[in-house]
Amino acid sequence: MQDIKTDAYEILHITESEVSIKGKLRLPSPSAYNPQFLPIQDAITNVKRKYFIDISELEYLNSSGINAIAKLVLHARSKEKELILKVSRKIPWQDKTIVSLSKLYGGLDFEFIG
Amino acid sequence: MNLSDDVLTSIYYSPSDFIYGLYENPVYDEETEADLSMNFVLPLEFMTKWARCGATSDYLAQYQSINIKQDHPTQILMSSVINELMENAVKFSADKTKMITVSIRHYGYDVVIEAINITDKLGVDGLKSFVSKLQNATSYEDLFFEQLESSFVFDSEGLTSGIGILSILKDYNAKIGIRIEEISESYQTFRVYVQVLIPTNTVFS
Repeated sequence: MQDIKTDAYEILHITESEVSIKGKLRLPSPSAYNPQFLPIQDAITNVKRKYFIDISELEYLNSSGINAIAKLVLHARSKEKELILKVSRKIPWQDKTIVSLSKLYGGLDFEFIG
Repeated sequence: MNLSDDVLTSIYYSPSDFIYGLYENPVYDEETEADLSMNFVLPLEFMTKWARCGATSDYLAQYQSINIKQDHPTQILMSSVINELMENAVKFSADKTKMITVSIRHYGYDVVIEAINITDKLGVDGLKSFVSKLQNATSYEDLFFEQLESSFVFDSEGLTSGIGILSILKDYNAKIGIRIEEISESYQTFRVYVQVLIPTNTVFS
């Protein structure tokens, strides 16, 4: 899987079971996230048991992006794969909105970094 | 980007205006109680680069956070809320040559952010449909998750799902106001005002 590096954000496929998303990600629509997120969706499909998404250094994500993250959670649910989101308590939308996504899927868990 | 005070929302509503939430029950007298009021007028012709929404939100949040707390989480939250309103104003603007207005007012612990744009009948119908969902929802949280599930099942764009606004309402104890003012009956054009109140004493305590 190919890493993506722009001036605003980076998406780094650390291993086959972990991706790291950093920076500011504010794309114009949910479908605008497809090129960046479909490889992550495929990786969730292909992982044996557990997949990690580290967003603890992702400072900004707009509502289209929150929708896109929720779709990854629901995709993991449909494939019955565990999903671990690494988040920061210091970033309000992660601490509030992203953590609340646990209501979508019992197999979603969090690691708090920072 | 221009600084302007002439596009600021009028507090004098027409009886024909559609109003909901904060516009029905204003919490503050905007004329007298604002500690700070500033308006940014963003001509949409300059918004071809979507990133300008985020850059403007970051600047406004940094400016405004001086009145609240100057820590980084405060700026991130304020920028996220401003950006959400600004993106919606841009997306639902009928004529891309029109301007949008974003203003922030600070009343004690409360920050009120307002975005204004011009839209058409289609935009108004979508907004009224969203208001109807707000009115009929058992809670903002329930509606938020219903909209996410629906967006996943139908693989929809979710542009009118209101997920961003709903997350602000459910996660930050915010209040919302929506006002629709008809500008021209013959051309079916409307001015839309969306206002969000963030009680920073509860969010940042």
